[in-house]
Amino acid sequence: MRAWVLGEFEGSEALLAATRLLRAEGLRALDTHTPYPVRGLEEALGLPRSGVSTVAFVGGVVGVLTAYLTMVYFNVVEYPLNLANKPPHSPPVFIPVTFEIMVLFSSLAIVTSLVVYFWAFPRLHHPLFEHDAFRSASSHGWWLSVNSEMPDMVMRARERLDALGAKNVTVIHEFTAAPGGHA
Amino acid sequence: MSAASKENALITGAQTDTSLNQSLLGFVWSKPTRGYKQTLLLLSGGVGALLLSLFLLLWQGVGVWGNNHPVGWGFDIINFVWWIGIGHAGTLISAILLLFQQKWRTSINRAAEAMTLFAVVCALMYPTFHTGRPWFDWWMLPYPSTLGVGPQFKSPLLWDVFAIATYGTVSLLFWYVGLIPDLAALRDGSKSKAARLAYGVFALGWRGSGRHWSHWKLGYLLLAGLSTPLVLSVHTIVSFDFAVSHIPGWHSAIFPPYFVAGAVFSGFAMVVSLMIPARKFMKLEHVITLTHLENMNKVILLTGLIVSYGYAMEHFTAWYSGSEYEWTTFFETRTKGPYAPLYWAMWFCNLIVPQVFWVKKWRRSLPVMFTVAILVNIGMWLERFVIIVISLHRDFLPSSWAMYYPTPADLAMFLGSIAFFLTAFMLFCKFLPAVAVAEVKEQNHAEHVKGPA
Amino acid sequence: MTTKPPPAVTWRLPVLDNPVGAPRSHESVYGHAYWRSVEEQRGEGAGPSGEFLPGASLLDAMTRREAMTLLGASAALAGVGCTMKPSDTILPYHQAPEGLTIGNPQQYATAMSVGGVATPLLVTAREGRPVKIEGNPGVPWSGGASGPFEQAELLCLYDPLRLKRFSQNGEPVAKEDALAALTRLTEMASKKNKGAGVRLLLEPNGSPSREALLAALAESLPNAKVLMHAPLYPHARYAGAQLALGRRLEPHYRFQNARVILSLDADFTFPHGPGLRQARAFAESREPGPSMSRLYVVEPSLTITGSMADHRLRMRASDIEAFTRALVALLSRQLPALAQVPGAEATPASPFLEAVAADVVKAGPRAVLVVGDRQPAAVHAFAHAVNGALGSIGETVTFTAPAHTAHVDALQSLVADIERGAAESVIIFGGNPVYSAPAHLGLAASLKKVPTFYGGLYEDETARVSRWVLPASHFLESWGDVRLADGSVALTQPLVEPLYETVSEAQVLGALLGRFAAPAAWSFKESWRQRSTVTGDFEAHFAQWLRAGWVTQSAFSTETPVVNFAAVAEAAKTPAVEGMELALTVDSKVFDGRYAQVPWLQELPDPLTKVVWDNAALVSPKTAEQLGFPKQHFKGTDGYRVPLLRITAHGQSLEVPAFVLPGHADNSVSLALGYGGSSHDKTVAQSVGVNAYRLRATENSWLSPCTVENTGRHHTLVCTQEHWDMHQRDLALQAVRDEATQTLALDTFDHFEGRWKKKPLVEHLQTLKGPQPALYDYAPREVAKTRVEYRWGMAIDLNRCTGCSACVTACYAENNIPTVGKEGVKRNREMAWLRVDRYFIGELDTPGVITQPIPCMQCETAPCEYVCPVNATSHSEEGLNDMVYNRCIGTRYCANNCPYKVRRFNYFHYHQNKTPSERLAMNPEVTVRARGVMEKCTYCVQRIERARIEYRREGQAIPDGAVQTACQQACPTQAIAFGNLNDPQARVSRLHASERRYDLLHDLNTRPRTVYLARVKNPHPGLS
Repeated sequence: MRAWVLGEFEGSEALLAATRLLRAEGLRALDTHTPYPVRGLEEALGLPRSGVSTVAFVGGVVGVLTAYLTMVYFNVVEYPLNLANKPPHSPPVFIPVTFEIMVLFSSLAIVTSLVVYFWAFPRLHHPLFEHDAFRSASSHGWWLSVNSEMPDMVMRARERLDALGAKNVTVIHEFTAAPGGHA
Repeated sequence: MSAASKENALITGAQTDTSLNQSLLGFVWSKPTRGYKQTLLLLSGGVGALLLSLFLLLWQGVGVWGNNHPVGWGFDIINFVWWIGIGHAGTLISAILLLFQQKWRTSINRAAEAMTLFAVVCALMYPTFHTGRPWFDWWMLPYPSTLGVGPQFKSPLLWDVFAIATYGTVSLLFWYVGLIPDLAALRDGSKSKAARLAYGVFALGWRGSGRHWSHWKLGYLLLAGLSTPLVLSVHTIVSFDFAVSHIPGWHSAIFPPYFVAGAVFSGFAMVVSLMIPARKFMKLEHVITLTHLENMNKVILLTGLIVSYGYAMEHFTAWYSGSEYEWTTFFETRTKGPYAPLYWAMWFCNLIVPQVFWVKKWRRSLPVMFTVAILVNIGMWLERFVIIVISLHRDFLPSSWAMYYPTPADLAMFLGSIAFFLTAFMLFCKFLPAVAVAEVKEQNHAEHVKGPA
Repeated sequence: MTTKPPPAVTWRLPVLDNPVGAPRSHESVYGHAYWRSVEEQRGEGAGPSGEFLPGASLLDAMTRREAMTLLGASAALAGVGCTMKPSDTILPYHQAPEGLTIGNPQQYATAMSVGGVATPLLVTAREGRPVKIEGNPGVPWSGGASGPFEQAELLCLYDPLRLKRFSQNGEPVAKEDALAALTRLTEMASKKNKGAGVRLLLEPNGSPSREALLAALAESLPNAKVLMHAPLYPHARYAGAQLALGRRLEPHYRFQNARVILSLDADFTFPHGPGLRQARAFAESREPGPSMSRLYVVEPSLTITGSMADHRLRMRASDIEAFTRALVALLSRQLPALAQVPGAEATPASPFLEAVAADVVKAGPRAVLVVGDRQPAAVHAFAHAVNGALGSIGETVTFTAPAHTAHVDALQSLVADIERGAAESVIIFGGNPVYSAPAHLGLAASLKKVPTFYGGLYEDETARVSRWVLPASHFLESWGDVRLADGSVALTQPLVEPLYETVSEAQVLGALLGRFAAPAAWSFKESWRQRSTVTGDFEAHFAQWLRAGWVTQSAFSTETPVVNFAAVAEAAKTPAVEGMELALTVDSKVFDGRYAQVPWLQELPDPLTKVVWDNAALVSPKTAEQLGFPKQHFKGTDGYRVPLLRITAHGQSLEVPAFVLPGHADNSVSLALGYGGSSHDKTVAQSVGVNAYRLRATENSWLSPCTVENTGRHHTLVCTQEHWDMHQRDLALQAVRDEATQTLALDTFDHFEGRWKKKPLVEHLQTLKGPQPALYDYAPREVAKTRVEYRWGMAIDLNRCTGCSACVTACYAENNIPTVGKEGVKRNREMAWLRVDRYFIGELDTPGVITQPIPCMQCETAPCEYVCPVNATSHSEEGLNDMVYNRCIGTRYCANNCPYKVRRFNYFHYHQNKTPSERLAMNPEVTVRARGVMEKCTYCVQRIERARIEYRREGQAIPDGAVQTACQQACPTQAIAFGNLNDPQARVSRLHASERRYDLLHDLNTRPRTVYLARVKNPHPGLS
């Protein structure tokens, strides 16, 4: 049975300090919930560099190939026509569409991978939303969460958060296993 | 803080996360005022006119417009280019200013991006319907046809299809990705269950997790990186519609940069003219400050000068080329032809008027900048009229020269598209945060380091 | 007599068994040439309708909708043209005429005559319906050209507004009753004073079979009077011949032999009847070279002939007699034969006059004077005298007896007879005389007083005042014959059963003869058999005549008259017109008014003014200034907002829109006849123009004094071309021939130096032809030159083009081009694939005029092609710029990028409201374009493909001349050449290689396949 221990801090600095401390103490499955990104939190949480850039690159390459080959297929292979005495395969005129499709594919890859893979969205319900005070996380609250399946770890996290001065410390249990999901 | 920096502050007053939350999201929660409703009602009349004109067009054909031989493109393409130009400001502000780390982008980017989207929709309406038989438009897509014949990729119009479609899609994605944290804030701040559900669906389950933010930041930056060349490419490609042809007045190598500058010029003017009333009615003066507007006015001045340089360059090229046709188009038809008043009005609006922004006092004066912005919008519309109609109505063979006049259906569609644009913008302000709340808070936080509530 | 009704489901085709075919045709294509139906109708098989088999009518046994279904089905069988599946039962086409293969066109020879002007024709029929009218090249007199009127007859045939019911006092009656009434009339009239009270008013056409009928009628009604009348009949021409030559003679000009031509108000290239042949002969004389002719024109208003002149003198029409007398006076010093004719000295002598006199004398027998039909007999007589004195008679002008005669005062005597009770019943066939009669004659009121029978195509003014109205058959529906100008007889062969229950003129005369009751007793063929003098097998001869379209060797013999100088000397002096002159003109679009209903012609731009859907009072710039409107107010889509003038002549006044025409004579107003009919249909010609006949003094008067005042009100005139000068661009080029050195030079504007320069033509044209280097050239084009068998190309010789616009109408007819109406043209949406640009050069009062037909140039590097997003327009291997209508989505980008502006967009669904009968006129080989589609000239690709099929079956290459585009075929002067550029012997290749050839807008490197040959002017050295 998974559980989350939640606690709200006074500000981003307090949150950052608490995160660093708890991580140093060996607590894993830490996460923060902030209304806007806080500089330094990635290092504090020990997050790796996001893989979105790789996805974007692959999307772009696929876009370039798709666009160029499609154009060549339609205008050169399948039905070459004499238009204004220009050669069917005229690379310069294929540049604009190739570029556009590269951007399109890359952008779609970024957003799709973000939503589906990196964020594992849509996840319209999450146990954290059970906690009413947690609604401040999107506007002005600075929350820290510890996720664990081990009851003693949950207890420990709860004590540490209390000790660090967090408000609204709560434990939320997940009764049904939700598929996937990181934090 | 020094007096100077106070004057140039991007967020005025001692703001906290909570106060910003209240002031920036307040408009969404507030009950619509009588004025708001009346304006919407008025605008819906315009949208009705738009629908009526489209019905007429589909029922009877393009003949309900004023297009003719030799002026095959009239209001349809003028308005298309005008709208797509306006649609450049949002993404430009969001993407390029983000890349250049311009702090003043944060308060205005959201509304500007929304404007972009609505302007792109307005723009798309024209090429979609201008064939008179939009049910055949899909022939421009590369689908496996039994005829074996596909689209013709040498045509700049086809480049347009892909450019505009990509631009619309990427702008939407960019805007939406930026909106997700604010949607979560709306979800969490909503009182009613319905609102919570509606915003919740679009927030996708955003919890502000450090991991979310980590991916979000990189993804957003990458989208900005892609959008920047995209935004430049779109108007470049729109300019190819003209530059690739060989009509005097169209066939010009200066077109891509000059069109892009023109797009920024008109886009910023539109942002300014919309922001001035919007920030007042939505009480956003503390985040959309005079400094923001002044910065935009500087961009208007700069791009106005680039555009004017473009005009001058066109004329120089026409003179230097020694081509009789070019010469006639630029030095006879435009300057002395039947549409000459519109041509000179274009110079006035786009070159003379923005010069007032050399004066700081006027740059920061709301009435002055509103007037200038409106005139620039008119001027940029005239520019498209000059390029499209004046070039077409007199080209190579004088025997085919003829006049073009719009019809009531043309005007209904044009005014209707403006009404649609404003309606969409008003609904956007009502249902979504018109300012990027998370980003403003982040910036507020950065400026007042010790400012936690 | 037994008549067996045919089964209801059969669809018999009309009498279509005498195909001519082109010389290249072979039997399997055009079928065996049998002649069957007249044979059948002579026997017991003839039905009560007199001329045709019962149930044979196309639109009789079934509704027109059903007929359309059948046509649609047959078109679908041929795999062309049809987009809708027939929704009704398809009936087998099981009684098809022999030799007809569904989907293949058949050509038949026939002929038409309007108002005394006859043209031999070749008509193409598709599945039994005529779809295209062309001139008959097989008739030696003709040359195969056709003008706008000939083309337009097709729409008259299918006009939904044609009269369709017989009526008496406005009440419908049966056809039999109407014809029986005619028979009764003869019976009663012959008893009473041998028909002295009967008057027949007919149009002159010289028909021998009609003469035979009239002769038979004269036996039963010896005292009846037959009046021949046509409102535009050239009475003065014959009166002049009578005066100078002693008898009525028809002059035939042999311009091909002429070196100097002086036209005195004669528009001799007017594209109709003899004008077609004269235009060709004139064009032949204009070949640049030592024998090139020189044309002097003296006329009040610009005509297409005047626009071809080397020297044109604008002069009021009524002053031309004085000019002629002065010329005769000058000439009589050097031509002794003229000494008897005193003439009158001009004071002061003009350089023009002296140059003409010198040139005429120098050319001797190879000079010729031509006089317009508006001029009084005296001017004609003087011209004959000069031609006789020069020895030109027999050399550049020959004479025959006229093909027919008409009464100079037919209407006047008719009215007089009715008023004094001498005329008791009147039978009118064709011509609508009530409309064209002078207003003060009161013809309408008179006709109402007596029983009047009127046979006409429309419910027109005459029909309204007639007691009996008989719907007339169109000439494409009836048998007949006409005399061409040289007297040869051309046979009118019906191409289709009458679409409605109608009568032909022969049937009306037959009814008068009482032969209606026994229809078999008369037939067209029998009439010919009885009068025939041929030896041998009459049947074979007759079949041959029908196939050829004319009775071979039937022309009148050429006469060589001697000029009676003494009589000419006494020719009465016509009193000069003081003040303002009203000069009525024959319109090149509506003729005498009979074509006012034809949208093709109403929308055809006037060759000089480019006005459509209106007639206007043409005045000179100076006269306009005097009348208080110095400037033509130009208002774009509002067209020309022009002042309305009130013109008063002979007590009648009319309000006419004014139009300033450069080169018009001062103090003169030119006004075209034929417009403003009060009965014209709402949708076509209602409120189009004003009826200038009202201003006529007598039924054949042309020039009269008038008063003109500016009403201060305005009218909107619509033109297809609003800019009249070339802006110093090298567009329609015109070189000047130097007589002494035989070299050609032209004035060209140097845009760098900003001034005009005189350059040798050949040198200048070197810079205006051939491919230019391109950054991005595509080798396959060069390969294609050798690999492809045909490289189609066109050449247009501006030196031959008169701007008559016959080509434009032919293009409309061939390619199913819609008309858009005055409002449409006002919005610049006319659909003409081929237009004739007209530019003025030089001074406002003495302008040069040059016309330039602009079809699609079929550019090898076509700017329209690469901008189409859906491949709707692309290049064929043979060089055609193809347009795929069903692929076009209508972005209009191609039209924008076309520098020649020859692409036309369907802004509305122009064909939507076509009636079933109008649809019959459609060419099934050309797609009918829907709304939202771009369309353009494709060198009549359907004709190319048909020829390809024909010759491929024979395993032959398409020879030169086997494919003629519609415009080329119609062109009276053969200004258009089309053919295979890979064939060096083809006419088009020779013209492409001409030193006068140039490419329009050459610097754009579009590499057009259509090229132009510069026009050459041959001015008098002393006058230029």
